[in-house]
Amino acid sequence: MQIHDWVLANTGPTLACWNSHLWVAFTGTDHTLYAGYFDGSTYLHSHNAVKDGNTPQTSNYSPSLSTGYDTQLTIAWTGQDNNGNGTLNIDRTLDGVNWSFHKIWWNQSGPNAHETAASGPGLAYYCSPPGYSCEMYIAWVGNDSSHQLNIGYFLFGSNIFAYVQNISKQMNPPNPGPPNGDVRSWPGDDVALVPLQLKSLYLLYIDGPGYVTDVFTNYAYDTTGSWQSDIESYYADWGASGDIDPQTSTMWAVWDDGRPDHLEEGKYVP
Amino acid sequence: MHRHVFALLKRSFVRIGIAPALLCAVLSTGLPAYAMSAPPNHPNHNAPTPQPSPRPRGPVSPPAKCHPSTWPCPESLGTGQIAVTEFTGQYTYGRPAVAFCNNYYYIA
Repeated sequence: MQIHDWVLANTGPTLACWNSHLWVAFTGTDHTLYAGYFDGSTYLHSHNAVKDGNTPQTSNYSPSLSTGYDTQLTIAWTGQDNNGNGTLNIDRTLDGVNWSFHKIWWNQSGPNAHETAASGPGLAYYCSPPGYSCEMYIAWVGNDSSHQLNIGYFLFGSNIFAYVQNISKQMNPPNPGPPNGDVRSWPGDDVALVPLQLKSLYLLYIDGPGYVTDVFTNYAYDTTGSWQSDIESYYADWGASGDIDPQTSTMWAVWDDGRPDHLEEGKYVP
Repeated sequence: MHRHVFALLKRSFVRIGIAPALLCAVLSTGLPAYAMSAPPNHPNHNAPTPQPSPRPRGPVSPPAKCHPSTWPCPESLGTGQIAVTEFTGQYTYGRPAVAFCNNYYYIA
Protein backbone atom coordinates (compact mmCIF):
# COMPACT_ATOMS: atom_id res chain seq x y z
CA MET A 1 0.00 0.00 0.00
CA GLN A 2 1.05 3.59 -0.50
CA ILE A 3 0.20 6.60 1.56
CA HIS A 4 0.10 9.53 -0.81
CA ASP A 5 2.05 11.99 1.12
CA TRP A 6 5.35 13.22 -0.18
CA VAL A 7 8.71 12.85 1.41
CA LEU A 8 11.68 15.08 0.87
CA ALA A 9 14.08 13.48 -1.59
CA ASN A 10 16.89 11.47 -0.05
CA THR A 11 15.21 11.31 3.33
CA GLY A 12 13.11 8.53 4.79
CA PRO A 13 10.53 7.81 7.46
CA THR A 14 11.15 6.79 11.03
CA LEU A 15 8.91 4.37 12.92
CA ALA A 16 8.07 3.79 16.57
CA CYS A 17 5.55 1.60 18.35
CA TRP A 18 3.85 3.90 20.81
CA ASN A 19 0.52 3.62 22.63
CA SER A 20 -0.28 0.45 20.66
CA HIS A 21 0.02 2.27 17.36
CA LEU A 22 2.69 2.31 14.71
CA TRP A 23 3.82 5.91 14.51
CA VAL A 24 5.66 7.32 11.54
CA ALA A 25 7.43 10.64 11.22
CA PHE A 26 9.05 12.04 8.11
CA THR A 27 10.37 15.19 6.47
CA GLY A 28 7.97 16.52 3.86
CA THR A 29 8.88 18.17 0.60
CA ASP A 30 8.37 21.51 2.32
CA HIS A 31 11.05 20.38 4.81
CA THR A 32 8.44 20.32 7.58
CA LEU A 33 8.47 17.39 10.00
CA TYR A 34 5.23 15.42 10.11
CA ALA A 35 4.02 12.70 12.44
CA GLY A 36 1.07 10.35 12.35
CA TYR A 37 0.11 6.79 13.08
CA PHE A 38 -0.84 3.95 10.82
CA ASP A 39 -4.38 2.67 11.16
CA GLY A 40 -3.56 -0.88 10.11
CA SER A 41 -5.01 -0.58 6.62
CA THR A 42 -4.58 2.54 4.52
CA TYR A 43 -4.33 5.79 6.35
CA LEU A 44 -2.21 7.90 8.58
CA HIS A 45 -4.17 9.17 11.55
CA SER A 46 -3.32 12.20 13.62
CA HIS A 47 -1.17 13.36 10.73
CA ASN A 48 0.20 16.71 11.79
CA ALA A 49 3.22 18.93 11.52
CA VAL A 50 5.61 18.93 14.43
CA LYS A 51 5.36 22.49 15.70
CA ASP A 52 6.94 24.67 18.34
CA GLY A 53 3.95 26.84 19.10
CA ASN A 54 2.71 27.75 15.64
CA THR A 55 6.11 27.31 13.98
CA PRO A 56 6.59 24.07 12.05
CA GLN A 57 9.89 22.37 12.67
CA THR A 58 11.96 21.79 9.57
CA SER A 59 14.96 19.79 8.44
CA ASN A 60 16.90 18.75 5.36
CA TYR A 61 17.27 15.22 6.69
CA SER A 62 15.31 12.35 8.20
CA PRO A 63 14.08 12.61 11.79
CA SER A 64 14.22 9.82 14.36
CA LEU A 65 11.56 8.71 16.83
CA SER A 66 12.04 7.00 20.16
CA THR A 67 9.91 5.87 23.04
CA GLY A 68 11.08 5.20 26.56
CA TYR A 69 11.97 7.26 29.62
CA ASP A 70 8.29 7.94 30.21
CA THR A 71 5.03 7.72 28.31
CA GLN A 72 5.90 10.42 25.79
CA LEU A 73 7.08 10.09 22.22
CA THR A 74 10.37 11.80 21.43
CA ILE A 75 11.59 13.05 18.07
CA ALA A 76 15.08 14.24 17.14
CA TRP A 77 16.16 16.08 14.01
CA THR A 78 18.83 18.25 12.47
CA GLY A 79 17.83 21.87 12.05
CA GLN A 80 18.17 23.91 8.87
CA ASP A 81 20.52 26.51 10.32
CA ASN A 82 24.24 26.39 9.52
CA ASN A 83 23.48 26.21 5.80
CA GLY A 84 21.24 23.23 6.31
CA ASN A 85 23.61 21.15 8.40
CA GLY A 86 22.17 22.55 11.54
CA THR A 87 21.76 22.23 15.24
CA LEU A 88 20.44 19.08 16.87
CA ASN A 89 16.93 19.30 18.26
CA ILE A 90 14.51 17.17 20.22
CA ASP A 91 10.86 17.57 21.06
CA ARG A 92 8.32 15.44 22.88
CA THR A 93 4.59 14.85 22.85
CA LEU A 94 1.96 13.23 25.02
CA ASP A 95 -0.67 12.92 22.31
CA GLY A 96 1.21 12.96 19.00
CA VAL A 97 -0.33 16.29 18.10
CA ASN A 98 1.02 18.82 20.56
CA TRP A 99 4.77 19.08 20.87
CA SER A 100 5.80 21.25 23.77
CA PHE A 101 9.24 20.23 24.93
CA HIS A 102 11.45 21.66 22.22
CA LYS A 103 15.14 21.65 23.19
CA ILE A 104 18.08 22.72 21.07
CA TRP A 105 21.70 21.70 21.53
CA TRP A 106 23.21 25.12 21.68
CA ASN A 107 24.17 27.82 24.15
CA GLN A 108 25.18 25.23 26.72
CA SER A 109 28.25 25.45 28.91
CA GLY A 110 31.46 23.55 28.32
CA PRO A 111 33.35 22.45 25.24
CA ASN A 112 30.33 20.95 23.49
CA ALA A 113 28.03 23.89 23.93
CA HIS A 114 26.68 23.70 20.40
CA GLU A 115 26.41 20.56 18.26
CA THR A 116 25.40 20.43 14.63
CA ALA A 117 24.98 17.50 12.28
CA ALA A 118 25.60 16.78 8.63
CA SER A 119 22.68 14.31 8.36
CA GLY A 120 19.71 13.01 10.28
CA PRO A 121 20.45 11.82 13.81
CA GLY A 122 19.76 8.49 15.45
CA LEU A 123 17.77 8.43 18.68
CA ALA A 124 17.23 5.65 21.22
CA TYR A 125 16.45 5.26 24.87
CA TYR A 126 18.93 2.71 26.15
CA CYS A 127 19.56 1.22 29.56
CA SER A 128 23.04 -0.11 30.17
CA PRO A 129 23.61 -3.20 32.33
CA PRO A 130 22.98 -2.89 36.08
CA GLY A 131 25.04 -0.21 37.71
CA TYR A 132 24.73 2.12 34.79
CA SER A 133 22.06 4.56 33.83
CA CYS A 134 19.32 4.78 31.23
CA GLU A 135 19.66 7.66 28.80
CA MET A 136 18.03 9.07 25.69
CA TYR A 137 20.99 8.74 23.34
CA ILE A 138 21.44 10.73 20.19
CA ALA A 139 24.06 9.96 17.53
CA TRP A 140 25.03 12.07 14.56
CA VAL A 141 27.45 12.69 11.73
CA GLY A 142 29.65 15.65 12.54
CA ASN A 143 30.28 18.71 10.41
CA ASP A 144 34.02 18.29 10.82
CA SER A 145 36.00 17.78 7.63
CA SER A 146 36.01 13.99 7.97
CA HIS A 147 32.40 13.73 9.17
CA GLN A 148 33.12 11.60 12.17
CA LEU A 149 30.47 9.93 14.27
CA ASN A 150 29.43 11.30 17.64
CA ILE A 151 27.12 10.32 20.47
CA GLY A 152 25.56 12.12 23.39
CA TYR A 153 22.34 12.02 25.35
CA PHE A 154 19.65 14.28 26.65
CA LEU A 155 19.70 14.69 30.40
CA PHE A 156 16.12 14.88 31.61
CA GLY A 157 15.65 16.96 34.71
CA SER A 158 18.51 19.27 33.87
CA ASN A 159 17.12 19.52 30.33
CA ILE A 160 20.52 19.74 28.72
CA PHE A 161 22.40 17.68 26.20
CA ALA A 162 25.50 15.81 27.33
CA TYR A 163 28.28 14.93 24.93
CA VAL A 164 29.64 11.40 25.40
CA GLN A 165 32.33 10.83 22.84
CA ASN A 166 33.56 10.85 19.30
CA ILE A 167 32.77 7.28 18.31
CA SER A 168 35.21 7.30 15.46
CA LYS A 169 38.09 7.22 17.91
CA GLN A 170 36.70 4.48 20.14
CA MET A 171 37.00 1.38 18.02
CA ASN A 172 38.14 -1.71 19.87
CA PRO A 173 39.98 -3.03 18.02
CA PRO A 174 40.55 -0.09 15.68
CA ASN A 175 38.60 -0.35 12.49
CA PRO A 176 40.76 -1.25 9.52
CA GLY A 177 41.30 1.47 6.99
CA PRO A 178 42.93 4.88 6.88
CA PRO A 179 43.52 7.12 8.59
CA ASN A 180 44.52 5.75 11.95
CA GLY A 181 41.67 3.33 12.01
CA ASP A 182 39.07 5.96 12.66
CA VAL A 183 35.63 5.84 11.14
CA ARG A 184 34.04 8.43 8.93
CA SER A 185 30.55 8.79 7.66
CA TRP A 186 29.12 10.88 4.86
CA PRO A 187 27.04 14.07 4.91
CA GLY A 188 23.43 13.39 4.17
CA ASP A 189 23.53 9.75 5.17
CA ASP A 190 21.25 9.34 8.17
CA VAL A 191 22.32 7.19 11.10
CA ALA A 192 20.25 5.13 13.53
CA LEU A 193 20.62 3.83 17.06
CA VAL A 194 19.14 0.46 17.95
CA PRO A 195 18.96 -0.47 21.64
CA LEU A 196 19.17 -4.04 22.84
CA GLN A 197 18.33 -3.16 26.40
CA LEU A 198 20.84 -4.03 29.11
CA LYS A 199 23.25 -5.45 26.54
CA SER A 200 24.27 -3.31 23.59
CA LEU A 201 23.47 -0.12 21.80
CA TYR A 202 23.99 -0.49 18.05
CA LEU A 203 24.80 2.25 15.62
CA LEU A 204 23.85 1.80 11.99
CA TYR A 205 25.70 4.15 9.71
CA ILE A 206 27.12 4.57 6.25
CA ASP A 207 30.85 4.56 5.99
CA GLY A 208 32.53 7.49 4.34
CA PRO A 209 34.97 7.75 1.47
CA GLY A 210 38.38 6.22 1.58
CA TYR A 211 37.40 2.81 2.80
CA VAL A 212 37.07 -0.52 1.11
CA THR A 213 33.30 -0.48 1.06
CA ASP A 214 30.38 1.66 1.91
CA VAL A 215 28.77 -0.08 4.75
CA PHE A 216 25.66 -0.83 6.56
CA THR A 217 27.15 -1.73 9.84
CA ASN A 218 26.67 -1.52 13.52
CA TYR A 219 28.68 -1.11 16.63
CA ALA A 220 28.04 -2.52 20.02
CA TYR A 221 28.42 0.07 22.70
CA ASP A 222 29.64 -1.48 25.91
CA THR A 223 29.72 -0.09 29.39
CA THR A 224 33.34 0.99 29.16
CA GLY A 225 32.47 3.42 26.43
CA SER A 226 34.29 1.54 23.72
CA TRP A 227 32.73 0.40 20.49
CA GLN A 228 33.40 -2.89 18.80
CA SER A 229 34.46 -2.58 15.22
CA ASP A 230 32.05 -3.33 12.43
CA ILE A 231 29.98 -6.45 12.79
CA GLU A 232 29.25 -6.55 9.09
CA SER A 233 29.38 -4.32 6.05
CA TYR A 234 27.12 -3.95 3.04
CA TYR A 235 26.66 -1.39 0.35
CA ALA A 236 24.26 1.37 1.24
CA ASP A 237 23.53 4.91 0.16
CA TRP A 238 21.17 7.01 2.17
CA GLY A 239 21.22 5.48 5.60
CA ALA A 240 20.16 2.49 7.62
CA SER A 241 17.84 1.94 10.53
CA GLY A 242 16.71 -0.97 12.64
CA ASP A 243 14.78 -2.36 15.55
CA ILE A 244 14.99 -5.25 17.98
CA ASP A 245 12.56 -8.15 17.71
CA PRO A 246 11.26 -8.26 21.29
CA GLN A 247 10.58 -11.99 21.13
CA THR A 248 13.95 -13.16 19.83
CA SER A 249 16.24 -10.19 20.61
CA THR A 250 17.27 -10.33 16.96
CA MET A 251 18.28 -7.02 15.44
CA TRP A 252 16.58 -6.26 12.16
CA ALA A 253 18.02 -3.57 9.94
CA VAL A 254 17.09 -2.10 6.60
CA TRP A 255 19.06 -0.04 4.12
CA ASP A 256 19.25 0.67 0.42
CA ASP A 257 21.80 -1.24 -1.55
CA GLY A 258 22.63 1.69 -3.78
CA ARG A 259 22.85 -0.30 -7.02
CA PRO A 260 20.43 1.32 -7.55
CA ASP A 261 18.67 1.73 -4.27
CA HIS A 262 17.40 -1.79 -3.81
CA LEU A 263 15.78 -2.23 -0.44
CA GLU A 264 17.64 -4.73 1.69
CA GLU A 265 17.09 -6.16 5.12
CA GLY A 266 19.48 -7.81 7.50
CA LYS A 267 18.88 -9.81 10.62
CA TYR A 268 21.55 -10.22 13.24
CA VAL A 269 21.52 -12.37 16.36
CA PRO A 270 23.79 -10.75 18.94
CA MET B 1 22.68 -11.28 -14.59
CA HIS B 2 25.68 -11.12 -12.38
CA ARG B 3 23.91 -8.83 -10.03
CA HIS B 4 21.02 -11.24 -9.96
CA VAL B 5 23.40 -14.01 -8.97
CA PHE B 6 24.84 -11.79 -6.30
CA ALA B 7 21.38 -11.11 -4.97
CA LEU B 8 20.60 -14.80 -4.84
CA LEU B 9 23.80 -15.48 -3.00
CA LYS B 10 23.04 -12.83 -0.47
CA ARG B 11 19.50 -13.96 -0.09
CA SER B 12 20.43 -17.51 0.70
CA PHE B 13 23.55 -16.84 2.63
CA VAL B 14 23.71 -17.10 6.39
CA ARG B 15 27.02 -16.39 8.02
CA ILE B 16 27.89 -18.89 10.72
CA GLY B 17 30.78 -17.70 12.77
CA ILE B 18 33.16 -16.95 9.90
CA ALA B 19 35.25 -13.87 9.48
CA PRO B 20 34.00 -11.05 7.25
CA ALA B 21 36.99 -11.63 5.01
CA LEU B 22 35.80 -15.16 4.37
CA LEU B 23 32.32 -13.88 3.72
CA CYS B 24 33.83 -11.53 1.19
CA ALA B 25 35.75 -14.34 -0.40
CA VAL B 26 32.68 -16.52 -0.66
CA LEU B 27 30.59 -13.82 -2.21
CA SER B 28 33.26 -12.69 -4.61
CA THR B 29 33.57 -16.06 -6.29
CA GLY B 30 32.62 -15.67 -9.91
CA LEU B 31 31.38 -12.14 -9.51
CA PRO B 32 32.35 -9.09 -11.52
CA ALA B 33 34.65 -6.61 -9.89
CA TYR B 34 31.95 -4.07 -9.28
CA ALA B 35 30.11 -6.47 -7.03
CA MET B 36 32.80 -6.22 -4.37
CA SER B 37 33.92 -2.64 -4.81
CA ALA B 38 32.10 0.63 -4.91
CA PRO B 39 30.25 1.13 -8.18
CA PRO B 40 31.62 3.97 -10.33
CA ASN B 41 28.61 6.18 -9.88
CA HIS B 42 28.26 5.68 -6.19
CA PRO B 43 27.62 9.07 -4.59
CA ASN B 44 29.68 8.33 -1.52
CA HIS B 45 32.85 7.80 -3.47
CA ASN B 46 32.88 10.22 -6.30
CA ALA B 47 31.11 13.34 -5.21
CA PRO B 48 33.69 15.66 -3.63
CA THR B 49 30.97 17.59 -1.90
CA PRO B 50 27.36 16.68 -1.31
CA GLN B 51 25.22 17.67 -4.25
CA PRO B 52 21.47 18.00 -4.54
CA SER B 53 20.21 14.73 -5.88
CA PRO B 54 18.24 14.63 -9.13
CA ARG B 55 16.50 11.49 -7.98
CA PRO B 56 12.74 11.58 -7.93
CA ARG B 57 10.89 12.03 -4.73
CA GLY B 58 8.44 9.35 -3.70
CA PRO B 59 5.36 8.87 -1.59
CA VAL B 60 5.62 7.56 1.93
CA SER B 61 5.66 3.79 1.75
CA PRO B 62 3.30 2.49 4.41
CA PRO B 63 4.41 -0.45 6.48
CA ALA B 64 3.99 -3.95 5.13
CA LYS B 65 3.08 -6.76 7.46
CA CYS B 66 5.49 -9.64 7.67
CA HIS B 67 4.57 -12.54 5.43
CA PRO B 68 6.77 -15.46 4.37
CA SER B 69 5.95 -15.14 0.68
CA THR B 70 6.38 -11.40 0.44
CA TRP B 71 8.19 -9.78 3.32
CA PRO B 72 10.43 -12.24 5.14
CA CYS B 73 9.60 -13.16 8.69
CA PRO B 74 12.08 -14.02 11.44
CA GLU B 75 14.27 -16.98 10.70
CA SER B 76 16.04 -19.30 13.04
CA LEU B 77 19.49 -17.82 13.40
CA GLY B 78 22.17 -18.70 15.90
CA THR B 79 24.30 -16.31 17.90
CA GLY B 80 26.49 -14.15 15.70
CA GLN B 81 24.64 -15.11 12.53
CA ILE B 82 23.52 -12.66 9.91
CA ALA B 83 21.00 -13.16 7.14
CA VAL B 84 20.46 -10.60 4.39
CA THR B 85 17.46 -10.38 2.12
CA GLU B 86 16.96 -8.22 -0.92
CA PHE B 87 13.43 -7.06 -1.51
CA THR B 88 13.05 -7.69 -5.20
CA GLY B 89 11.46 -4.81 -7.01
CA GLN B 90 11.44 -2.51 -4.00
CA TYR B 91 13.46 0.68 -4.13
CA THR B 92 14.08 3.52 -1.78
CA TYR B 93 15.55 6.97 -2.17
CA GLY B 94 16.19 7.59 1.48
CA ARG B 95 16.72 5.84 4.77
CA PRO B 96 14.09 3.11 5.19
CA ALA B 97 12.72 2.18 8.61
CA VAL B 98 11.63 -0.90 10.52
CA ALA B 99 9.69 -1.46 13.72
CA PHE B 100 8.08 -4.24 15.69
CA CYS B 101 4.62 -3.32 16.87
CA ASN B 102 1.64 -5.35 18.06
CA ASN B 103 3.33 -8.62 17.12
CA TYR B 104 4.02 -7.47 13.55
CA TYR B 105 7.20 -6.47 11.82
CA TYR B 106 6.80 -3.32 9.78
CA ILE B 107 8.99 -1.73 7.16
CA ALA B 108 8.44 1.69 5.63
